[in-house]
Amino acid sequence: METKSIKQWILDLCGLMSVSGSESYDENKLMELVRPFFDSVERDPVGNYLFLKKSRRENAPRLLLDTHYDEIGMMVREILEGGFVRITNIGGLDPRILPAAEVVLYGEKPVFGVIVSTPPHLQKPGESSKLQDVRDLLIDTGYTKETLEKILPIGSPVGYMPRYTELEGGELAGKSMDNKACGACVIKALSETDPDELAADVYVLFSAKEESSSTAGANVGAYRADPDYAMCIDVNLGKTPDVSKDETVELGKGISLTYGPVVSRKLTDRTAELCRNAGLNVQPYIATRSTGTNTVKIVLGRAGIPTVDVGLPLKYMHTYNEVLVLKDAEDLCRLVREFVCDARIAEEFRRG
Amino acid sequence: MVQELKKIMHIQGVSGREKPVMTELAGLIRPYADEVRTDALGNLIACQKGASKSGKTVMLCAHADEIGFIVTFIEKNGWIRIAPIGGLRPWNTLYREVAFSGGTRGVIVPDVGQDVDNLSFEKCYVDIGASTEKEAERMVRIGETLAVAPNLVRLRGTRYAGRPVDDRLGCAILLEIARNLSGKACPHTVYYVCSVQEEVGCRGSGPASFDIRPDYALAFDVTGTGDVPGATPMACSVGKGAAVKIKDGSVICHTEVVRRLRTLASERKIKYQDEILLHGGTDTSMMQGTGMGSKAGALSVPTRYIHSAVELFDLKDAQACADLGAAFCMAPEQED
Repeated sequence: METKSIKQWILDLCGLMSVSGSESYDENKLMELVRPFFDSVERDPVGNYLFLKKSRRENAPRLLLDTHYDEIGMMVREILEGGFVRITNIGGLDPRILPAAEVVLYGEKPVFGVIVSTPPHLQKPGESSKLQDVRDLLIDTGYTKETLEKILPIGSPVGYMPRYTELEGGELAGKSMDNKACGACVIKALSETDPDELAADVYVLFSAKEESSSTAGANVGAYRADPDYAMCIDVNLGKTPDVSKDETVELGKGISLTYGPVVSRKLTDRTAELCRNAGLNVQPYIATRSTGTNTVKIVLGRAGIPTVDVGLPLKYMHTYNEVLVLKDAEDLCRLVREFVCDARIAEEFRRG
Repeated sequence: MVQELKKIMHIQGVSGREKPVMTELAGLIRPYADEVRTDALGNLIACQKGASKSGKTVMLCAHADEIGFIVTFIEKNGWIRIAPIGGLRPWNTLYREVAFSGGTRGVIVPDVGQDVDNLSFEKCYVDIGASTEKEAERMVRIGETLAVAPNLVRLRGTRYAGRPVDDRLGCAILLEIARNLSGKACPHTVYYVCSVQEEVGCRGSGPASFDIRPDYALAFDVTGTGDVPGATPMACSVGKGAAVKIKDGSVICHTEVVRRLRTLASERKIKYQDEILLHGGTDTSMMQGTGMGSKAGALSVPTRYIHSAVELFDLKDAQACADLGAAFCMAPEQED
């Protein structure tokens, strides 16, 4: 069987609709894509999907791989005259990039919309530089209020229009690569790994609600999986000319590994060593306080879980055109393969 | 419901010091419960056992703590310096009567010459009528809690204003549901939790739900409204029924629970409205995300002027929350 390319995996998973709080919207499609490569899947009340691929080894330790499955988006708050819709943000949206964006409102059926934007001719002096609150923005749907009220309940999720463009140099642009691109790397890696090779029973957590500032997804997921050790994988801020190099990582130079008080230094060192041996480039990344990822929650799960925090460089985070380099994704995919097969790490972190 | 509400509003329970109000609540819920206990944090947990072996576990939660202050320092001339506990602002607290947990009364005022718009509580003090440090030390202890004096006035019809409505009203709703369900042979096991320390970060409800492991969880609390001058547009008003929470600052409620509450309200002709609260959190988040997790939602009473001394609500909305909450306990599962 020919294996599916990383690009195709990313397009397949990122194209699903999974705005925080509505993670089950495309459940059938998700199951079709991912379920065949695992022994079981568990859905929990928070909205997490916990996939398990068992090792053939007896008494294998338990490894948790976390990539959050939810994406940022919006929520319908009020339906106004003329088919305009008042919204609120789900997760950290940048109001600068929203006007004129194409969105899909997921009511009883999908409704297409454009976010209202004042033409430059009609803006008052200084207005263009003024940030609008996301909560003051409206979506134009073209429907009448009466029709819209029938098909679009208050609380319906709204997501960016799924559309992807390939740029030069193996760069891919589109919505919600944060964080389903990492999910794609993990699933591809496990789909190509034989249970004989696995050093641990691998729990893949597609966690819910990471973007909506709730701790629920990772907390409950880590509690349920009860792992001996964990790897949390999320996108990391990519370097562009307008931002400081201290807070970012470079694209095309491989994955990043987080160092700081939250992560397990030993597991991080082992992972770095593993990358070196496999010829994978690693960019160290420093997080002096929180990692800004699910790692901070997983580490405190149960009686404490040693966790390594891995990043995939991504530009223009939380926009409808997030950009990654496919080669970095391939690196991440290889790292995951090596990590789940590493018997030395598995034995070292097995609970006594 | 009002008589009971008034009673529990008049017993102080600033976050971390909830014991007196919990004792009162325990007495009030005992006649309807199979079991009443208090956990290590001070949460009051009452249980009505389900009639069916295959029944689900439903947890209802309202916080019994209230915002207030703690005594930090006693000045030479008997002024009491304080620090806030929970989300308090000086401008909705000043020149009010306050009650200390030990019984002393006082008034809260700013230091002379302060700009009230940019005031912090460090520049406020409580005058208890003492003339010297020694005298004050006999009346008040460092570490003692205090709160703006309780009050409840009836306005027009079923509208009331006072404090602490947040969230003794939720506790009163739990009592109403317990009374309603007692002797009804509810197939599901229902836990009633009056939680501690909600106002300082929803700390009580997490450990309580870790222990109870509910399948379904509902919080009962107050919520903001968009029906006052200058309010952020928000489709939630006093008098328009129970507010079914879809989202607040801490949680996105489970879609099945939201759908179930809407269906039940329509079927039973209980007045309801949708709630999307942009700021603020509730115990809902902790019940959703602790331990094995639960399908969590919330019913709110639309309330104006939250965290002031004149929290205003309509009793009919509270009754609607109680009716809808009871209906949910009888049949929490949404059939598709």
